[in-house]
Amino acid sequence: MSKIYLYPLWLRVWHWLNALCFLILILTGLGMHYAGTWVSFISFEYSRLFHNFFGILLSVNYAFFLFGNLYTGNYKQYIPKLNGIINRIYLQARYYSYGIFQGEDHPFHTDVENKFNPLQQITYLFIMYVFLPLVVISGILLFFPETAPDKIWGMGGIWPVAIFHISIGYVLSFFMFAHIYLATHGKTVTANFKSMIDGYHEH
Amino acid sequence: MLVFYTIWFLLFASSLFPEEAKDCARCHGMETLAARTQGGGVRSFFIHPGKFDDSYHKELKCTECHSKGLEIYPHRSEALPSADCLHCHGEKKDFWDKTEEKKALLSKMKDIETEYRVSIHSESNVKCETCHNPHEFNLDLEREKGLDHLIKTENELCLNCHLEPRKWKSFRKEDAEPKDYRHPFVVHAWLPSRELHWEKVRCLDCHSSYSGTNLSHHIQKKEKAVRDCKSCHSNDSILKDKLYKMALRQEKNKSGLMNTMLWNEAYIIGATRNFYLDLLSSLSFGLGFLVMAFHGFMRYKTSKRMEGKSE
Repeated sequence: MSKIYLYPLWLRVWHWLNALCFLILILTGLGMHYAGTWVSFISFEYSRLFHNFFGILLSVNYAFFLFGNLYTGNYKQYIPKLNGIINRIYLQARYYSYGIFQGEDHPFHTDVENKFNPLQQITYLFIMYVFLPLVVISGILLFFPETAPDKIWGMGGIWPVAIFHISIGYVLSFFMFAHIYLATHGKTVTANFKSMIDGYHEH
Repeated sequence: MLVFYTIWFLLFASSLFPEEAKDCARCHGMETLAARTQGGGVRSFFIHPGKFDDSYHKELKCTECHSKGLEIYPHRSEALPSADCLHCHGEKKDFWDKTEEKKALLSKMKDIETEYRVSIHSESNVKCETCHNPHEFNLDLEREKGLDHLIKTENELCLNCHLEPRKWKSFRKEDAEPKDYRHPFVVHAWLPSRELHWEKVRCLDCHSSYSGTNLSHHIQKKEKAVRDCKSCHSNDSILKDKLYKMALRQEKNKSGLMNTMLWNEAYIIGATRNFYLDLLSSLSFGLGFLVMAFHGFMRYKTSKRMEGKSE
């Protein structure tokens, strides 16, 4: 069994703080969106309060991530090599949907140069550089509703921003649950979770 | 400038009044017509010609309500309305029995009177005309200018008194229990996004009763005000029964979709959910969880099979 150091401390701190923010924001978002129904078990008042607080924390954490990524060069992990990308994504998807049940090995192994498999890479690229900034920006517009335009396409300005924010929120929520499940696809069910705590990846 | 303005009004403003009112308009069409009150304030006697012409009472002669004390100038105090609003809006059957629409309106007026009689305003000197200037009042016109305008106008009515301690005290009856004035900013300190609420919701949406006839004239004591966020911020928002009731009825007749109007006018967290978006997300999550559960189960079976083979 060999171990490689893949995840520096700043990355692990960012990751778990991000996870906490995601969890609280999802629960409190549901608390407000479904206020008055069985779905919302946190009161509207506290949902609003904590959603605002953790929304700001997520935004700050995201800024920290952008800086850390740039400063350490970790951002390169998110840039896919376009040559043969479709085939690589297919191979990884095939492994998850078929190969894993045949006892096949992972088609792409993790190393320092390539921490992500192709499917992870393309997903994380969109999540971290498209969806997360969009949810942060739309969240800020909702936090300061006077900054939203009075009308967007004939509708009251806040409504389209809110629907956009909720839609992106649903996408990120779905990602989080899928991410947690796919994290169990390590050497053991808990291996990847351990990696994100101590920074070492086991082959 | 003042002289020019005065002459202009004397010459032209009176022409905007009905024929019978031109004599009255000679003075009451002057914006500067006012007198000092005993309390040191100023009481205006100006009747805005344009607004009167848009009001519900535009076809009434001045003498319908002001019939006494007009012989001398300035008029005696008897020139103030000789009858209160309910004289016409409660009793004058011959006028109200003319059409079905008028009968329905009379019935509504009686319900409004009933609500007023149990409201906190009836314990003070607040009367109909305190909030509804009979020379300008036209709610239908205000509604046509949009919800934001309606909210702003109606809230200004309340804040006119409730932001002014002296004015607030002046409406209290002499034999009323002593009560300290509290500024609305202080009283509403608990309310998140207070100013935004005041822009988007009327005072009486939280401070009037929703039970019975629900005509927003049963203004309640502040202890009974709506304080539960879920009352408005849920699918069953009480705002649909008050602030948005008229507009929703109009919109439902137009498009059949209750939420359409709300989409166009306001976003209320928890109340203006998009049914299709929520359905799509629920189905997606449900399907996703099923797929993950099945995938996990199959992985478990596979690993057991592999363990069996290796043994």
